[in-house]
Amino acid sequence: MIALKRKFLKVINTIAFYICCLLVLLYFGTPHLWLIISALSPESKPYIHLVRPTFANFVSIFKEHNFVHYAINTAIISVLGTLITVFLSVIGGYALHELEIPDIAILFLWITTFVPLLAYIIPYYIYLSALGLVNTYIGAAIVLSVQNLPYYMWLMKNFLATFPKEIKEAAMIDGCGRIRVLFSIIIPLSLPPIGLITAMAFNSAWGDFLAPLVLLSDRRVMPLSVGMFTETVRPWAVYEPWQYNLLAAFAVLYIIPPALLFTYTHKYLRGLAMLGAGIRG
Amino acid sequence: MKSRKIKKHKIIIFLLLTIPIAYYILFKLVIIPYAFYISLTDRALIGPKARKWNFIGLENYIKLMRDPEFHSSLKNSLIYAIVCGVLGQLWLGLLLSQLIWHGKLHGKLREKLTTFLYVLAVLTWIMPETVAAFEIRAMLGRGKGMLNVILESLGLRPVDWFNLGNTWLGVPIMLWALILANIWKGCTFSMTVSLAAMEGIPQELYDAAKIDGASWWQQFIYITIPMLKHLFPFMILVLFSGSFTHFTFLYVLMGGGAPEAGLWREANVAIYAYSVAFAYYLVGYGTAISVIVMLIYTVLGILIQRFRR
Repeated sequence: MIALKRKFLKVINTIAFYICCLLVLLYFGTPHLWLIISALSPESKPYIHLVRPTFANFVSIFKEHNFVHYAINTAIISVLGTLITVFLSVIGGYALHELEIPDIAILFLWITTFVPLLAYIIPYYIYLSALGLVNTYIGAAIVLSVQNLPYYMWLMKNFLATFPKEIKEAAMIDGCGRIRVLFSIIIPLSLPPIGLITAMAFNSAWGDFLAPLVLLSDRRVMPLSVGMFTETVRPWAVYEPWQYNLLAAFAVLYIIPPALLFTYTHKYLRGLAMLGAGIRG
Repeated sequence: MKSRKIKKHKIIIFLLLTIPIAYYILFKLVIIPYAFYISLTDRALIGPKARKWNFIGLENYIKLMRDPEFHSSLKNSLIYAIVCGVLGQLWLGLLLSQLIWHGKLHGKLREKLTTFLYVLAVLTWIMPETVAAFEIRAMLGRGKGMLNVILESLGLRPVDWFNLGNTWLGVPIMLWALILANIWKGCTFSMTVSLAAMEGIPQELYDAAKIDGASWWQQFIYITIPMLKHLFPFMILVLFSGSFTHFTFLYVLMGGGAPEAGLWREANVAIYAYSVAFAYYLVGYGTAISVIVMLIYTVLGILIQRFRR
């Protein structure tokens, strides 16, 4: 009897497991699936039209909607921002480690990283326009790189705390200066955290919407996140201003770099989450 | 001789440290006093008040106290953040991590399935928010949105999600849709945190539970949750702060190209501040809201700092 009950429970368990999986799959998968379907469907047809997929949307965004221009802008901004972030966080983390500054001393910096860009974008806009940084690549790169800088510095410092002292000391006995130690020993040996910082900084810069929306309103410097909407949304079409198929084509291509990045860095994601990343939702 | 050399090195290192700190102060911290100063004026974005503004003291804050739109936007922000972060993302993430953990230990097929779910969830998490917002919009859209296509093919009346008159529990349907969307986008954070923490739970506990015939949800309730409880304050605070001023979803869903016209200003404190400043050009007033938001986030930051370990 007990054995029967146990078997019954096991079957119930298995069914519950697969039902849960199915629900999760539906919840997480449907929007992505819908995105791909929309990107492949012609505008004139109703949406569910998988019989004859078309690549006309992709051709159209390349030919008529300047996809390449926006993609280049996005790449410039995010690469520039990432470079600044990585450089500053590496030297900052190294200095924090070398001077043995306790966490409590930089607590104020730490806490202010939790203030999102959104909370101070209005005075920031006035401030940056006074400095002449509105509608420039470098201005956007600064905005994107400064946001989480203390956090990345702290990440780097934490990694360096686990670094074997002997390697550094051996180099210094051989006559290396501290700067030389940083560039020829510390950096080559701390590629995992640097890679992690690069990935996080690049991903957040690539996907950022608010900073370009406010600071890069000129089409010459506008990146994809804003550009894909200004190119395809027709505000005068009252009933449905969105051209879903074109936007979907934009979105599919826009997603590719973060997805590629993820495939190479997902190993580190676990540690990253543990350290309290993902603050921006 | 040696001590002088060390001193020189210390100075160099100190100079290295000043570069990022100065950068951070110049481009972020300086904004806090500046914002406070602007919030005390009646400055505008364009027009005569943009060039010559008056110092009006705390008038903006007094106006804020009496502004019903500000109150309802604050209320909506709180609903959004609590339902999303505390009720939705936290628990869905925990359940997901349990599901994935379970799949990992029970055979090849289940492992493959749950790994696929994991990849899907992480992909949703890391992809740009604009794309996520677009996907949601494509689901909800008026004419060709997926849900309405399905409803129509079933012979039902399509729902106008964007009509703020449609409410459920006194809150517009729009906000519920946004909450569902944000849970979808953000629950991976608590999933990854709890997956990492679950590796620290002794496997014997689960083995013992299995011998006693506990199902996986019983394992979840009686083992996983008690063992991860110490992480909850940290996760709740991070998730709350992530959702409290969520901007992109709302902004993109409401318009994208010409949003100022159709933007639902009371959806969120941040949206309200943004529209006051950039659609009505009242920079001083918008900044006063910003200062309040900054204060809230500073408190949240202090709390997160406390609960981090």
